[in-house]
This record gives sequence, C-alpha cells and structure tokens, in this order.
Amino acid sequence: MKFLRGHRDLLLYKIVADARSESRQLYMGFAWWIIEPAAHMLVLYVIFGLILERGGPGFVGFLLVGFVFWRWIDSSVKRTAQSLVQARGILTQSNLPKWLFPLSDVLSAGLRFAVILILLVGFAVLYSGQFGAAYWYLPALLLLNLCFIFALGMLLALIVPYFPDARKVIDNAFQLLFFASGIFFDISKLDSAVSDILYWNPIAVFLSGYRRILLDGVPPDPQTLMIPLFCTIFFLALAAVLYRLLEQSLAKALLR
Amino acid sequence: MTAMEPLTSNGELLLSLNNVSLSYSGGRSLFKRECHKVLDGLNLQVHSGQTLGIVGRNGAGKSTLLKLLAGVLQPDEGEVVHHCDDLHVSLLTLQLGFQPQLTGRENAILGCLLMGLSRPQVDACLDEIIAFSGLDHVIDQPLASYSSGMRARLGFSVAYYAQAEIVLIDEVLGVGDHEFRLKSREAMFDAVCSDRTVILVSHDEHFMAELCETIIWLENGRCVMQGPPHEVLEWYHDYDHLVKQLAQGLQMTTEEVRRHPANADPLARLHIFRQGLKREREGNIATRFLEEESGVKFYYPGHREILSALLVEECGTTVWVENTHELARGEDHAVREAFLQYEDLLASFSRLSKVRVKDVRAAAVSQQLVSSLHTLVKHHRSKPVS
Repeated sequence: MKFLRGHRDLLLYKIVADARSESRQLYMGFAWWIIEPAAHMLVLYVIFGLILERGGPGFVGFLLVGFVFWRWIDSSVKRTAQSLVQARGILTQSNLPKWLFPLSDVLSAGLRFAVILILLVGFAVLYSGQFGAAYWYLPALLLLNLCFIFALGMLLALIVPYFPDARKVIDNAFQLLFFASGIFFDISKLDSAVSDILYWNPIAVFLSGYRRILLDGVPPDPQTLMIPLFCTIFFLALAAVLYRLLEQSLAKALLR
Repeated sequence: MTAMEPLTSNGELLLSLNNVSLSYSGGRSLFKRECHKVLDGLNLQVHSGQTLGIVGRNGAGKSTLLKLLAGVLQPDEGEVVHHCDDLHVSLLTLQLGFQPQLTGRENAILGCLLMGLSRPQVDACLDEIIAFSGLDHVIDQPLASYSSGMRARLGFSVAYYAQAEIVLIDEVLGVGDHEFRLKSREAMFDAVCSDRTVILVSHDEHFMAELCETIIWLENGRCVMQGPPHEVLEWYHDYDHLVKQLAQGLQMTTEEVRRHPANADPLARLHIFRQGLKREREGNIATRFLEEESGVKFYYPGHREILSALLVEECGTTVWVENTHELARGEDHAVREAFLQYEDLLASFSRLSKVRVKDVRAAAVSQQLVSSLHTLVKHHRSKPVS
C-alpha cells in the first residue's frame, strides 16, 4: 500500500482524465455509459425474450446477467493487456512504476462498469422479485473478480511488449472462453463430466456466482470460488515476480 | 582535455556511469535478431551544480544516455551508481502524457503528476505554469484546439516547473514563438545559475556553448572528448566536416564513414588530418592551392592522406575527387602521380592563359576536361610566350 500511496494522486487523476478524454470524443459523452449497456440489455431482451422466446422462463435474466459480467471481464482484460504498450510514450520517457498503467485501466473499466451494475441490479430485483441477504455476497464477489481481472491483465500487459503476437492469442482465447463460460447455457445442467471441466474456467465460476446472487437469491458456492481465488493469487504472485524481474528491461522492449 | 580524463567539478558527486554499454535489438522475427549497440563502454560522472552539454550526430546515443541517467533504461553492461539517497533525476519531456481531448489545465495537471509532483505541489504551482505559458486565455479549452506552438509552450512550462535535482533536457529548447523562445531560454539560464544540475542535449551549439561549462562529444556510443565547450565544439565540427568530405569522396554515406572501423577513434583521425595538412602546407605539394583555392572540393593533401589511409587500409584504393567528380581511382602511387601532373597542368594553364587557377579548376570537372587541358597546354607550349 506504501507504493500505491506514493502515486495515488496520479492514479486517481489518470482514471478521471481517461474517462473525461473518452467521453469528450463523443457528442453524448458520459450518457453513453448508460445508453450503451441499456441498449445491449434491451436488444438481448427483445431478441431472446420477445422474438425468439428461447430458453424457457428466466432465460432473459440468465442471459443478461451472464452477458453483462462477461463484457466487463472481456473488455477489462483486453484493455489492460494493452496498457503498457499504449503507455509507450510515457514509459520510454519517464521512470514511473509500470504497474500503475494496468491498474489505472482496470479501475477505469471498473468505474464504467459500476454504472452498468446499478442498472443490472435494478433489473435483477425487478425481474426476480427478490432483494435478499444473498446480495451481501455481491461486493465480495465483485472484489474478487476485480482482483482477478487486475492479476490477469497485469500479467498479459507484461507479456504483450515482449511478445506482440500475444494480442492475437488473447483475442482467440477470449473467443473460446465466450462459448465456454456459460453465457448462453447453464453449465450446471450439462453432463457432470463436462460441467466439472468447464468450472475450471474462473470466468464461468464468476458468472454462476452472480446468477446465484442476483437471480436465485442464494450465495455463490464457496467451493467453486476456490478456483478463481487460486488463479488470482497465482497470477498476482507471478505478475509481481515478473514485474520485478522485467521492469528494468521493459522500456527497451517498448522502444523496439 | 580528452575522453580519458575525468570531469572535474567542485560539486558533490551525484551520479556516475561506469563502463556502461547498452544495445537495442531490432526487428520482430523469431529467426532473425539484430543487435545495435547504442552506448559502448561509457564512463561519466555528474556533480551537483554542474551544467553538462552532450553533442553528437543523430543516433550517436545522446537521448539513450539521458534515458539511462533518468533510470528509464538500464545498462546491459556496467553500472549506473547513485551516490545520494533519493536522488530525483527527471527527464524534461515536452507534452508527456498529454491528451488532445483534455483542456490545457487538465493536461498541465496530468503532465505534472506524471513528472513526479504530488497533487498539492501541482496546485501550488499550476497558476505559475499557466502564467509562464502565456496561455491563460485558452487554458480551459481542449488541447486539440491548440496550435503546435501553443502545445509546445504548455509542454515546456509543465516540464520546467516539474524539475528535480538533476534535470535532463533533450532538444526541448527553441519551442513556441520568438517571445516564448527568449522566455524559455531565460528560464534555462535561471536553472543553470541555480544549484541545479543540468544535462543538456541540443543541436543549438551556440546556446550550448553559452550555457554549459563542459561538453561531451558522443560518437557511435562512445565518449570521444569532453572538456570546455569551444574546444570540444571545434573538434566536433572539424570531424563532421571531414566525414562529409570523406563520404563524398568515397561514395559512401556519412553514417558508413562514421561507423567505418578506420574511424573508430575520431580524435586520432582528426590528428592525422591536421598533421597531414600541416605537413603538406610546409611542403611543396600544392601549397599554393591550399591557401587560395576554395574551389577544390575534396582533394587537397590533408584530406587525401586520410582518404588514402582509409582506403589503403581497407581496400588498397585511393580516390581522387575534383569538384565533387571522381577523376581517378586506383593504387595510391598511381593516383598521386596523376594528381601531381594535374596540379602542374593547372598551374601551367593558369600562367599561360592568365586565368586564375581557381577558375581553371572549377572548369575542369571531368576526365574529358583533363584531356582537353593536356591538349591546350601542349598547344600553348608550342607557341612562344609573349
């Protein structure tokens, strides 16, 4: 926390500045933070709930919760993976700590997601008709998810400058994860051998946990949460070691 | 003072570079990796209050050296030693992290924070920064609406106010309009006159000579010379001139000439050149031409000697260049003989035709003219001189 305190002002201002900069590129600015997710939710509702009438009762809520959280994880990790390359101009001129940039991107994306989350929770309460004790687990799950995104993003952000092809690998891996995280289907209803394998994917566990809280009103399964927890700790530890080892040579890799 | 002698300064030793080397690897291929050595066995000591200038052609390693001093890059070999705890070294970078959608004020805050200032420090100096930049009237407009000069002014103001114990300045002087240039120069003078340590890279040599107490000349990542500005700059210019002429004569690029193994020690090369020039001036070969003939583009003895040395060492060839045209190429003695004959011809023709040698030389731009010269001289010699 000591190292964070030294750069707190920069981190906070950068998050705000990035958000302002992004919003000023559009006529409707910050309004898109609400319009965009609302439009996505509306489209999914209209297509799957009204037109196709697929998946039976509760499918629209199931799909919306899965899709919204997936979008957060997917966009945050991909954006964070690019953070060091995007900050090339600064990092090749200044000796700032490298981890500041992935952290800033994760928090920027998190800030944006907070708006969507409020909308989603509102929708979930109306849709499921419950706002029970399970909601107390939501902040803990969100925090774990945020840490997971940060850990994975940090790691990928460090790999990309040394191995630019990793960008393509990340895109393809997330394409695969999109279909393997149970966004469109309930993993728990699959054959147990298949679902056991799919639950090794931390994103699938997160989505399942959110659905349990928001739609079923029950806490997430603590046993399955061990997988994302372990992955987060492992990625964080690995990122910490690699940043220590490679911090000295990173600027040179970015200059290539 | 030469490259081997350490800099002397009364100030406390802040930072030293010991035998530092650094390479960049180029290209992104699994099968091919090229390494380009930018700094090669460099030694340097930085004392408090010192103003140090760095000169060198593009690609000599100046900016890399500053990045090394700032801690942005780390050496592959050797070490960078900080002799004080918490030494703050800052590379003065224009428009660091600026974003076009943000206003001038927002960019100024962001720039200061990126340069290591805390928010209270930024708030304390923000008004001064804005006043110094002279952009008060547009400071709350987006940076995208600024002209490049206005951006540079804001960038310079931010960078100047976010200074550290050692300030590294890389080609940032001379931004903005005339009035702002004077202002920024004045600010630089103030920084130099204060107890701050300043290391400056600029192609504005006049300003460097005025501002710096010591100048370091970098060539191919090595320190060629360090010492008083006027002395170093004189040698630096002489070498630059020599390289251009050698490149012309050898039909090589200046970069190739500079990287040629025969020029690994530019000072030694310049010594040969100067000695050769002196010897030839004292001798009888083309002395008169040296003094009065500015029309000779390349071939006068001092140059020829180096060229000859360079070529004979490498490929056993000497080139004779006249008015930028290559007239002969071959073994040294043969080319030298042809040159001396030509000098005789020019002198004779000048005497006979009452045309200045300079003009004759300017006209004789090709082998055909050399043969015409032969014919003309023979013709004149056959007539009685009046």
